[in-house]
Amino acid sequence: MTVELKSASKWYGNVVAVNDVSFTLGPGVTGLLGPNGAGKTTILNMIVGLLRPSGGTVTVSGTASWQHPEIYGSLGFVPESEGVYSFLTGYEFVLLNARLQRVADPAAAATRAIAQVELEQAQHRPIATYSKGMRQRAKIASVMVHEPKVLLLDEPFNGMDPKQRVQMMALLRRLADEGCIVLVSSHILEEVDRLADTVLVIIGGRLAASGSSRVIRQLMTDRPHTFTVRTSDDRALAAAIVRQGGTRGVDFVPEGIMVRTADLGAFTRALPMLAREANVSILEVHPTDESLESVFSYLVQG
Amino acid sequence: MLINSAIAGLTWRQSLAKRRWIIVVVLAALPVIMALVTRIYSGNDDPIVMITDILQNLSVVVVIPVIALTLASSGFGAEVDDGTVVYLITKPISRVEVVITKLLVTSAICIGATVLSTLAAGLIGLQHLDPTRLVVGFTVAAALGSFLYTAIFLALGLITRRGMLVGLIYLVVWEGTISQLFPGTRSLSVRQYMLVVTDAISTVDPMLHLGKIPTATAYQMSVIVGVLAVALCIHRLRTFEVGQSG
Repeated sequence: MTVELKSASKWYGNVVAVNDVSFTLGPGVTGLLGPNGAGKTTILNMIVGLLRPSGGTVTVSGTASWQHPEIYGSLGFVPESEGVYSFLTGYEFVLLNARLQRVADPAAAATRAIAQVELEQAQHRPIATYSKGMRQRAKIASVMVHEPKVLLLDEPFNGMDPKQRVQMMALLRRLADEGCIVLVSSHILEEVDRLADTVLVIIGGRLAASGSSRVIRQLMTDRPHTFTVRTSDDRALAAAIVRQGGTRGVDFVPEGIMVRTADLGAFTRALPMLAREANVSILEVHPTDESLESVFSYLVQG
Repeated sequence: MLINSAIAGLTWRQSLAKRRWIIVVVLAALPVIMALVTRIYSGNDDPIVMITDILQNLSVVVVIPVIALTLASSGFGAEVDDGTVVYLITKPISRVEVVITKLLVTSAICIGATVLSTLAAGLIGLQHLDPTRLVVGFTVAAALGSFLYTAIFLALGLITRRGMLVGLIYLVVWEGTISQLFPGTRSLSVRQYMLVVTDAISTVDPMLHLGKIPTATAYQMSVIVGVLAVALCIHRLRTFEVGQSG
């Protein structure tokens, strides 16, 4: 099975949501990474056939997604929206999806899917009483009832606690290892980095970068970084850093000194040694440009 | 196979969830209570006149359309609003099956409530059986009106995000005002179809002439409106696109 986008675009009047995006997905976990509003959800919705592409083609195993409900027999989609039938219990909701998928034994499929997301304890409570993380797991269970070959998840880790995240990532990894195509959208770099084999970076509706997780991480870490360092003697440390070389600049700012470096790893290794040699105590090291937007804007320029 | 049992079960629970069933029961009880009160306090007034008043002005004008609106508002409109429609339409099920199942279940609940209400109010008000088939006429009209209103309001939920508001405007402005003032607009009024059906079935002498359009027009328009509403639902669901988001 494959999922393929060829020059897929989506626009609403004059507003371009997705612009000329092409990629092919095969088995494994692919991360769709981008800031909020970048077009990730629009891309997912086009793959699921919930949006008609304004241009280009979107196919699942060669079949256009738009207006072909037969693709849903092998596809599962977890939307970001929290809307679920909250008057149903978790079990009833998952069972409903199993029946809608016309699986051979809906009850067994529902029980298995609920066990996979570890929701057994709360399965007979109405979803209205669920936490955000529990709702999320119920939604994921609901799309696993028919063991789909393609699983699309829009910001699936929202509202999950760290333990649930780790469990969910392990589950998605396992499915990918079994040959499933898993596409996970996220605006959190670390999530995608930990989970995905391949990363597609979407910015402003365009595919800004793509490659293995390692390549994208490299791109992200090789960019210039800026730190604010507060010490017992800013002047002495600044002199030591300049003497050492390897930085792009050191400025004095009210909070201490601001250091710009191109090599994140070398700088973070050198800083404690420089401080010790200059007999300076480091009080605080604070990265000043770690916002996702700055990372993305660097990638776009790149 | 046009009926999907999973969707049917879901629609049943959806229609009556969020205490909607209380609204339906209260509305359906109104004509019955009115008939009881009238029967107790009416003295020697003609029961046919009184029950016609209740069923025409309360059941046909208010109870039947508002029950249909209440039940249909839990249908596609609410599902589009809260995003749950995605769970229905990302399944290997034809959209025709989704629409037909939802329409049949929702209208069946509506018909059940309005038919019972009309029949009970009518028989209580008449104080005896129904030799002139007046109550039978109103009951058949209630079933027809329930089906048509449900189909129209389900379609409105897929056309506009303010389906409930547009439905109310149709009832109050179109059926309540415009079609009273301009006879030409009456052929697009479900209320008129119901009254014409009542006229056609009842044998009250002299004839009541509740409906203001020709019988043939009412029958033809009932079919046209029903088919159009169902076709519109199917078309809208087939070409349904989720709202734009990040």
